[in-house]
Amino acid sequence: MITALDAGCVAASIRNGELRAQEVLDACIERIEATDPQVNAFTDRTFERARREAAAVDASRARGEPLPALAGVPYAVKNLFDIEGLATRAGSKVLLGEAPARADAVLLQRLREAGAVLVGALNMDEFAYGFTTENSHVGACRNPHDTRRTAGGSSGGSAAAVAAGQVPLTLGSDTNGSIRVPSSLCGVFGLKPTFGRLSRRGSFPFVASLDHLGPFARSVTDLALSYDAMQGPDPLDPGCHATRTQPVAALVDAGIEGLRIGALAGYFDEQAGADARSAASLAARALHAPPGVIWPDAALARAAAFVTTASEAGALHLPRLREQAAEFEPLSVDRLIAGALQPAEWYMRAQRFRRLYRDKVNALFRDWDVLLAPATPVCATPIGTEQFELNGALVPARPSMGLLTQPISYAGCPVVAVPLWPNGTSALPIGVQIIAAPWREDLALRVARRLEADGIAAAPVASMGA
Amino acid sequence: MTDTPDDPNPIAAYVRAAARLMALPLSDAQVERVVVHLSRTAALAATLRDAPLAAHDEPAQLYEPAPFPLIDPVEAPK
Repeated sequence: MITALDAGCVAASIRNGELRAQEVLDACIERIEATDPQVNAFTDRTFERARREAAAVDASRARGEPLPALAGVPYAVKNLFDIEGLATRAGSKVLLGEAPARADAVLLQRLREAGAVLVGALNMDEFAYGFTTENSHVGACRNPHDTRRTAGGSSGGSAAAVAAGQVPLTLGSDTNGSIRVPSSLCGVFGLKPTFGRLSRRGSFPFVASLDHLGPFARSVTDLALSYDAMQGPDPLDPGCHATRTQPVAALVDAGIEGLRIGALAGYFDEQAGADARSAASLAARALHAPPGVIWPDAALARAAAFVTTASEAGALHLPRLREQAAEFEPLSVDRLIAGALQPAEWYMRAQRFRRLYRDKVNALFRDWDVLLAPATPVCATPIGTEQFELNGALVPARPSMGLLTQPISYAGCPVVAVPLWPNGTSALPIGVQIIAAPWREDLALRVARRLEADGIAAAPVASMGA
Repeated sequence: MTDTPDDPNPIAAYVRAAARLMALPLSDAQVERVVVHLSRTAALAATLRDAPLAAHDEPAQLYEPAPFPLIDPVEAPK
């Protein structure tokens, strides 16, 4: 089945003439039409554009031209990325009246240069403020492995589209866990690169000092291929710190010999439920990673991330909150207002803490190359869940899904979220974070690839009742 | 927007005052909901109050997790 192929296989099959790009696109569109009424991943479909892009790939091949790395690969993006000709929703209703984007976001431009074919935009929590993609404006995105449950968020549509086999590749954003949480709950691979690695220009911001962009896929190789295609400096994004590309696709199969891999304990055990601890233990055993590594100030970092997020997001949206609060997402509007009003001292203290925290985290990586931690406290919860039980305590469901991801992104470290199935592939997946020092995505991807090659991590297409 | 200076809930009083200062109209029902969220953040902010920070621990540098490396992974794999 074409839609079960990963992006690398699709590109190779088109390159060697086994498949045509238009044939792949037709299969992809058919899968979207068949499954999206159940999943609700897509908010916008760009099929006409996709047909033009796929035809151009086939024409290029017919002329005997060399094809780029992702030629003919269908992909879709979280609807906070600018797509030329469409209003950028960012999950909201209030932005729909804005002028259509005049150009694609930088990462879409780079994927287009790599030959990828854009088929649409994807569901998300409004303004990325959430971990469940229960979007009141367009409806909740549903988990393809159990459509009664959430897909995670805020990039829920991006993870669900990959898990449902609608497309092999999507893009999302991660401020506090919005790539890693839906990857975990939908059972797909996700990469949150180092803060400042990929250009964010042309994406709608949430928390400028924490926003990252990155890919979702059903294989580690696809993460690496797409990540390489998107790398490059961008002097026009003040948050893009990379000054050149550092390709990783050729490195992912380099193995893990000599790598110092440890498993995080303390906070990351205390805030994880039984399935999450089981998944992290499975990964640690497979990698011979000793347990007991303590991440510095994890609880304080989570608190600081929470405060920083509330202040920056609330301040960003304050002008619209004054005029249009009633049109905001009911599940997050009150949090945005609270953030807009909170004392500046809280925010400044969080930012001052952040520099010291960064230095402690970087010091930890003098002793370790890669560290492991669960990605979410629990598996996907039913849509509408207000609280879940975590080690004997009831916690608020929506903010608590990020308990294990927020401390890591607050330091800016790269993370690959890998999907494990501790109760078998007929049960729900849950993810493990593979964390490396800043700028060492290559190491996290190598460890992820080993888990995938050994069959510990996998991202099968959801059966969707078939 | 209501204004009750002797509000027994100091966070609610703060929300009302801050909202008025920021020209953000809030109904009483909204104030109640915002108080729930701000109280949660207040509890987290309180944990940060105990983190030792000296006067010179300031965030003036544009945040960057580490300097961009001079050597590519392909040249120096582990």
